[in-house]
Amino acid sequence: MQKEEIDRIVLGLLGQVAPEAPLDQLNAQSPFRNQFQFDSVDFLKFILGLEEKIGVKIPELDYPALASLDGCRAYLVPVQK
Amino acid sequence: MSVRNLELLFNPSSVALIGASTKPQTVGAVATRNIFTAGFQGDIYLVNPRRSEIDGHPCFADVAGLPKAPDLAVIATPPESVPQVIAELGALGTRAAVVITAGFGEGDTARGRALCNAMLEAARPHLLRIVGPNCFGLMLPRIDLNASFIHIHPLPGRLAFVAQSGALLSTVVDWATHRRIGFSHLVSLGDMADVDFGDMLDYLGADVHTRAILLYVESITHARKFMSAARAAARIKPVIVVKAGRYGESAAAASSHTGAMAGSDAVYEAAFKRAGILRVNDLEALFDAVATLGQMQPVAGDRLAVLTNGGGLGVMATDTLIYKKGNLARLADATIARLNEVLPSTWSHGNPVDIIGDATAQRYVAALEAIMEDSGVDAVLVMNCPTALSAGTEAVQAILDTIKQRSTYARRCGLLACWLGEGQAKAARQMFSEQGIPSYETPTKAVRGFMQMVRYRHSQTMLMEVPSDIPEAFSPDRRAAREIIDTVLAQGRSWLLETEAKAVLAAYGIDVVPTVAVASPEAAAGVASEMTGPFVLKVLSNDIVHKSDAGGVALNLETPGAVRERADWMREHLGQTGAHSGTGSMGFSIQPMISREHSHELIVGMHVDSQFGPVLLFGHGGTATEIILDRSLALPPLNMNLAREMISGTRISHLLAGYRGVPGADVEEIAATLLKVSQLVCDFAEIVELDINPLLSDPHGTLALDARLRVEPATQPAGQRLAICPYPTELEQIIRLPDGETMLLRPLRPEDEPAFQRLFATLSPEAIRLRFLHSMKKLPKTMAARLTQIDYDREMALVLTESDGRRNGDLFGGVRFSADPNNENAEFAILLGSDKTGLGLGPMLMRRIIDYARSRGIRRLFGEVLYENRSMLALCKAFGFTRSNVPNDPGVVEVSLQL
Repeated sequence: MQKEEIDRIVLGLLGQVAPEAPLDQLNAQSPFRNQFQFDSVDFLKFILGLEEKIGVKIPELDYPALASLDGCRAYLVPVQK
Repeated sequence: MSVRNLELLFNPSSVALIGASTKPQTVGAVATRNIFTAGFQGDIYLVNPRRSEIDGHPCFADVAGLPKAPDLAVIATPPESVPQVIAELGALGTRAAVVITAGFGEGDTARGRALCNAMLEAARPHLLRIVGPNCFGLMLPRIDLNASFIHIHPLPGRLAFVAQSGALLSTVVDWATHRRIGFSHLVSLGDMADVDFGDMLDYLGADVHTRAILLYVESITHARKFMSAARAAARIKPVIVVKAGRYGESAAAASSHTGAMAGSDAVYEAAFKRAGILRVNDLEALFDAVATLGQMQPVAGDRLAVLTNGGGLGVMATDTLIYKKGNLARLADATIARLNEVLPSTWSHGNPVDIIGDATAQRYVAALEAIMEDSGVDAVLVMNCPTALSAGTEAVQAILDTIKQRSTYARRCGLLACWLGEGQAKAARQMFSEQGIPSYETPTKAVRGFMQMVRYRHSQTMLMEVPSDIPEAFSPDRRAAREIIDTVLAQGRSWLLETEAKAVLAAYGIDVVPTVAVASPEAAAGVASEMTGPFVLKVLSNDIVHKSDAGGVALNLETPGAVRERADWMREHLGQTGAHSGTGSMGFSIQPMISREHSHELIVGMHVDSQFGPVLLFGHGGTATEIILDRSLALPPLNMNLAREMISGTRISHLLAGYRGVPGADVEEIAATLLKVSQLVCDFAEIVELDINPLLSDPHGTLALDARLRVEPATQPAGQRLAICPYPTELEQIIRLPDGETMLLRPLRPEDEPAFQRLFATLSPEAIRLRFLHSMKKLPKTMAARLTQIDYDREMALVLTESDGRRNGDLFGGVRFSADPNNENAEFAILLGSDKTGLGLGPMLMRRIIDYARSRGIRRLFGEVLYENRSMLALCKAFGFTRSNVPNDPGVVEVSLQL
């Protein structure tokens, strides 16, 4: 996947799951939970949304790798939609 | 069936006696009298269709007529009526029963078995738990309940005693009551149709009213459940067993050396050892052990110093110590020098430290101080024989004062006392006991107490060992072994040919002597001509298992010609004696004769025990192995520690260490061989008998000279037949965080307890309440032990830890489940350190345990969550869990997921 597309999907999902998230000032390296209210349920909803958007099942052991924007980019770049 | 409903069995608020009676000399009459005279404060109901009252107490005609469901029913009606009574009780709402009734054929007749099954079937829909049948009942002195037909009411106390035999239970009650020993529970399990030793250990291990669990075992059922329950209970409190039938071994029709030497009692011994259970010989030792383990602080080792005012006493103590394989401490030169200063010149100048018959309190104290400060001493046995000159209770007081003042040394070095005699000595023993120092009447008993403590400590370290299911340091060629075994089974054979057996061992990295199979005497000679002699010729035949006995082994053949001559002889002779049916298929194996200087002949084997499954054996090998009978047994899986432990349990281990100029054997290599055999046995359910005899061992390694292996078609996966589940290494996973950091997700190990405590300490009071459903300032040691001793079978826990895999690394969180033994329902719980939330770890753990439970065939996962734990409830909801209320607990909801 392209980085731009990943960002669009991820930010879109974050906007749905955590409407108060300051997405325009997002620090790509820092975990989401350090920047806004983002608990386990939010995380799960985010993952489920991501699976739906990219059409790929994400193994649970990989969930933590998706805890930040950079993490999502690194994980999703090799993924074929 | 686990501890479900056992609470009602052991803490009932109401009891019904079905089959109450006044008929003299009947079980029903004694039970009726007992239940009223013991003083039980709850409701008591009597059921007897022919009477309206017994001794002024109203009688109900049948179970259905009872005003409410009793928590516990005691049944003493004829066997034919029991299934119906159980069905009625279950329908009424009773969940626990004791079936005193005998006459179920004790499992041996078809009718008895049918009745017993009918009883269990009647109980099943209600999850009604049954103790018995054919038992003496149970006694709960703490709540004044005597639901048995034993006429003595035991004293309340904190020991639980569980026996199969009712007669033994009544003997113990009688014996202990006269010695003022009290109990929390006394249970006779009888035929163990339902509740068995495993259930009792599960329940009593967690019971706060029980300080130690005493078992009198004739046999056990469900070895795997027993082992995991015992290991968990033994982490928390002493579990001490007397096992009957030490010498009454069933002479198994064994066709291997291992089978012949692994008697059932020896297997029990190995199982107890591995479970952290202390085995003692008789009832007296059982109660002595309780006193010792209850009073004495754990000892650090087995080096005992003896301090006495009588030389003879010291000799007696030393004799017992050596007999019991203890270690007489060697005093340091500095200690001897100090003792020289404070003792008269006639003192013994060594251990035992004899401070002479005129010893005063001051002399005792001065000597004791010097000995306790010696780092080569793990415990001191202080003894006193009554002399006209000696100080009695005065010395006791001085010793007690010293211990108090020098608590640092007293904590490191254990203390036991033995004041001989009556009168003043009795008072002295009492003084020690009151201060928590075990005291004994004789040197023999004192040393036995010390050795019990040593063995107990050792068993505690043993039960922390959790060998992995993946070999630690070698990679077996499973496919090669699989091919051979499958071929043998496909040909309808059970014994592998020697060459095949050796090939299987070689596939597992065990060094075997090169062995060539040939079809004829001519070919044998041909092979020999290409080897360096001398040679060993053996017959290869499916019919001949003990080749030496049949004359099918020839050693030291010097030339190929001699090989051929001998092979011709074997073909002719073994054909005639009938040892081999039909000479046509008789083949031979030829191998070089190995003779190594300073080598030892060992045996390594495996045998399947009817209760405990595969058992490994190590010992002194050779043709006389069964006569020498120097062996040690262990349950697989092994790790290197357990393998070394096995070796050290034999007499030959002393020779292996080297002696009188003979170099020691490569013991690590022997241990590695044991590990490889253990792995082989864990990998192949088809292997049912294995002998490597002799396994030659010298300073340079090991070499299998002969091997025999028997296979049968497997009826279950290989892991299922083990009494102890291996540590499931395959569940270890590396978790990557976005910043490049990694964590390890792995099954919990017993040694994680300190790390678990540290994780608990980081939790806020609120987090603790939400996770454990109530407030707790500290995690009790018993709970921490219970939570970290899991069996990887009924219970599984995965923890997040540092990825470097080091011991005692920090834990960040984890998830666990505990399944019913019928594997239908499993309760789960999750815990995450507060600084690790929001990183996806919570959902990851949840998904992981759901998937794992599903893969294990579990049908429903459930958990209890505080109503206010919104985030957990929301997470469960997101995973599809449904919610239901918990009866009588409005603050708690049950979440449940059908898998």
